[in-house]
Amino acid sequence: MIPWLRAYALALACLLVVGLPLGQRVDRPRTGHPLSTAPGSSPVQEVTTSLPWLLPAATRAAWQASPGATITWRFNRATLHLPAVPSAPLAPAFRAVFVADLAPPDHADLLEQFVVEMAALRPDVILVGGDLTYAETEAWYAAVEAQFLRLERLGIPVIVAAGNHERKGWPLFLRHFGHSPTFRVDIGPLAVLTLDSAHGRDQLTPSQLAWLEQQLGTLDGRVPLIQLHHPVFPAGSAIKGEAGGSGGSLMGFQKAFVRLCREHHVPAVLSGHWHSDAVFDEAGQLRDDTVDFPGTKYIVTTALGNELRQVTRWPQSYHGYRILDFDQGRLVRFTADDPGTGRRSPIASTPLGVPASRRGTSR
Amino acid sequence: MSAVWILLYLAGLCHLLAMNGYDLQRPAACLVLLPILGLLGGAALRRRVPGLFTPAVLRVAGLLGLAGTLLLSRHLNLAGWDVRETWPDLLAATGGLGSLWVLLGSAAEAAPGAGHWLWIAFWLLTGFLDPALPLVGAGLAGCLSAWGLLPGRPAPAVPAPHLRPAALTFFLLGFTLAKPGWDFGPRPDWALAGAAMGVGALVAQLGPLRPRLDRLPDLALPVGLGLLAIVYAPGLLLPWGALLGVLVARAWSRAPRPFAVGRLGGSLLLGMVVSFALHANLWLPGLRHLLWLGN
Repeated sequence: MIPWLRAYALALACLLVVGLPLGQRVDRPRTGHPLSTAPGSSPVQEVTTSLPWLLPAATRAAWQASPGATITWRFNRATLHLPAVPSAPLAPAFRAVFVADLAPPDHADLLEQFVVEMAALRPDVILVGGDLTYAETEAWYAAVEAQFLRLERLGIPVIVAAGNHERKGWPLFLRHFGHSPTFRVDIGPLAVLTLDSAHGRDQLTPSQLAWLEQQLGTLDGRVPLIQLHHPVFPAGSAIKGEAGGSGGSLMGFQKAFVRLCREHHVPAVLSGHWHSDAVFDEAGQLRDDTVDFPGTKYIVTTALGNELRQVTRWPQSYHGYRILDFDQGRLVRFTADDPGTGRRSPIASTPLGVPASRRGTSR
Repeated sequence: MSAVWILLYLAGLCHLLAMNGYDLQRPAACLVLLPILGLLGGAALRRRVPGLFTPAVLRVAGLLGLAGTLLLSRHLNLAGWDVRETWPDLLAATGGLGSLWVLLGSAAEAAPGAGHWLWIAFWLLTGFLDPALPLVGAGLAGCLSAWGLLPGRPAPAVPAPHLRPAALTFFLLGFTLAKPGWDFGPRPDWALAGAAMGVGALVAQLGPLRPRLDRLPDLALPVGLGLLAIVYAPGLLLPWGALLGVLVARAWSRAPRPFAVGRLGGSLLLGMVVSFALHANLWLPGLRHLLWLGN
């Protein structure tokens, strides 16, 4: 018994060597994981500490100063539960913007143009659906984060999902955009559920699906909106080309995912990855005929700044983002007008404007 | 002396590298492979140059192994591992080589006892705090072992242990053990399955259960491990882990002695690597239905 006690004493000493001086990592709020203070929400702050059940003094003091707040622990994960924000009637209008497959460093002006347009548009929230950087360097990750911080300083929360390219610089992604790629943010009438379909490749895993089911079961009257990097359905009969290997879709638990979306009346699932626009119904059919069809809209959005591809028979191809308008929590618009006819397009996203640096030259 | 702490090292290293994205973009990343080469080829080196495995050398190696894993864990704590950086790769190589040197130099003739499995459970549970910590458990066990301070009564000997097929069983052990890590990814709950496995293995060494488990045919172990790989469900993480532990304990106690570090450790490692590779390639026909129940 004594030798084992000695061994465990050494084990505890090792844990102290690793964990001291006491450190923490703020997991929420931070860029990509905004703090939800929307009416009706229960805001939380989260930190991970280097030793279990111990908070650095500054955090402990700040948290204890929050009236009515409570702290819960899960080993070294501390969560501060702030008092619930009183409910308010559903906002008559709520606007979300979804964007994915951002610009590589040599197209930085496209990201700048997006920020400029968002500053003018002032959406209530921006969802970033993965493939943020295409360059696994600290400098470029920091530059992209700085652009998102500009938006957040304007009062526009940015919610970030991981894409397959994030896996190439995973420690950089974690450092800049948080260690929880699967998370929920309640904002306005929405419960935004961010999934990590690129964990491995093109798949949800059983624990992610279980987490999603749990979240969809506790919506508290909010409208669920899901973002994940990979399109849920394959291009199937709508396929135009293999698109340089990017034509992949969700492989893990796709049917179970679609069933959950149907059962919980999810209005829209937002994806990127194809660098091309597409909209599917819950049977997996490309809906280039109408915007008005029942059930969940599975919306794929073109690239903001990386190379454009044509994956389905939908002919238009341009850099852009998608504006989603909600009225009383109901999705009322998710496509742009057709530039040619001025009519509502069944699929098109909103084209990105030409950056100032390129005006007078062809893009 | 038992060599079971190799399980901690391989499980911790594979999980870390899979989660942080291992590739060979920079030469420094090759450093991480050195302990693996040592694992596979160390036995031959020991036969040819026994002078490299004297008790004095093993003590130094044990200290280096502990220092390397400790410093690596400090470096990675609350952060990720960028394998393109030289310093953490060097620490991983030092920690791994030091610990494995001790392993190769030890006789490893005994099956792990209940105390060893509790040690494994404790250190796998620390993976919840940080995924690099189980490596410290391996480093500390190696150091204590080199200095003759690793306690624990070995399990009662199985008469003429001759697990067949041993390599396949250890391959499936690695394959199945890696599954929760693949499922949970950056979320730390995979460590709970590891801790449950350690507790399950401990229970399998105790009381009336052990003689009954001893009567299991050898073939029941790979079959059971394969079934557990198929029926994995995150909602049943703890009982699943405990059941896995029962099979792991039996497999380890029946493994031929002295423990064939290269062959069985290599099979265990191969199982983990194949597990990650297959789970990352669900586009292979039919595979996704087999790898995730209900998919």
